[in-house]
Amino acid sequence: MARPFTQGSNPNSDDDSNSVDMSSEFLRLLEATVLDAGKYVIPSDDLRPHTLEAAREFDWRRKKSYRFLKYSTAIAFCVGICWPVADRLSPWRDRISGPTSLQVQEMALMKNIGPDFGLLEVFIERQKQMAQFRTALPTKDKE
Amino acid sequence: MSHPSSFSDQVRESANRIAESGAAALTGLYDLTSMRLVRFSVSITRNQHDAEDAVQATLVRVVGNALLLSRAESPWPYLLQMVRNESLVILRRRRRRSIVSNLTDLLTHRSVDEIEKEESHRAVWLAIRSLPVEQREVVVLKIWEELTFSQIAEVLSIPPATAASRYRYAMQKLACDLQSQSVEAYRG
Repeated sequence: MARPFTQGSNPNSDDDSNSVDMSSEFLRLLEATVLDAGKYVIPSDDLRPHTLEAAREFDWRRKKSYRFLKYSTAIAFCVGICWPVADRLSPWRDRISGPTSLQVQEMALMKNIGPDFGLLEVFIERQKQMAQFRTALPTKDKE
Repeated sequence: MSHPSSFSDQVRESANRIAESGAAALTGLYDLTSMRLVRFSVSITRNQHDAEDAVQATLVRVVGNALLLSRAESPWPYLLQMVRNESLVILRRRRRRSIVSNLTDLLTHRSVDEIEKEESHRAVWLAIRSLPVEQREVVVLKIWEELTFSQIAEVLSIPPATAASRYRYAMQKLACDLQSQSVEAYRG
């Protein structure tokens, strides 16, 4: 318990070359009196709950904004990666996904042989296209 | 009162806990420092309400970046510096408020065995309040916070020699004020 300004102690003992001259007993007494009055003023009872509540709210908001930032970054990263990949795959879109049902219906009607047989013709053509596509792909056996 | 360096270690430990657990760990730092921080802030703002606002804002800031405090070379002077900055901001914002010349804004501690000392404490606080803010800060940091002039200089961003001379002038003025108060009381 260091009390540098109580009576009997050396107030210049803080290894500070700029210490003022405290040799006077009166000044030492004065410092002791001031030191004694230190605990006279205290914080209000409300300060503790208010401070803790404010800190909790600040922490919650910070975590929320951090989470938002994390998810935004993840979404931006995914979009940044997926967009160019989808763009590169777009020429092969027909081969990968095939025609939509609407496109198939339109093609069947264009055959002018009725919707049923038209549809059959379209599917047969599609099967041939897929077979050609598969044979065009390099396989391990061919290598 | 504890030794400054060990107190600094306790502040660092509390800051580390806040860095690990967040706001839930602020209670430790609050219980350790609130009284001293409010006392120091009151010496700058001359108003308990403003001082408490400054302390609250500072401690919330600590929760925001506790590592800054725990990694500081001297956490306790660093925390005092934070409170000082916050107090000065509040003081600038509320300059229009009239300065209270008595102690009516302060919340004081009265224990049964110290009733006879209350007059002395009131006299000391009134005398400290009558000092210019530059001298008030030095007296509070030197006597109540037991900082060296080098540490005070660091907190207040002034040369150590200036801190020492401010302290000397402040003590002379305090002596005069308290003496005159005693004489008035004796005559009264």
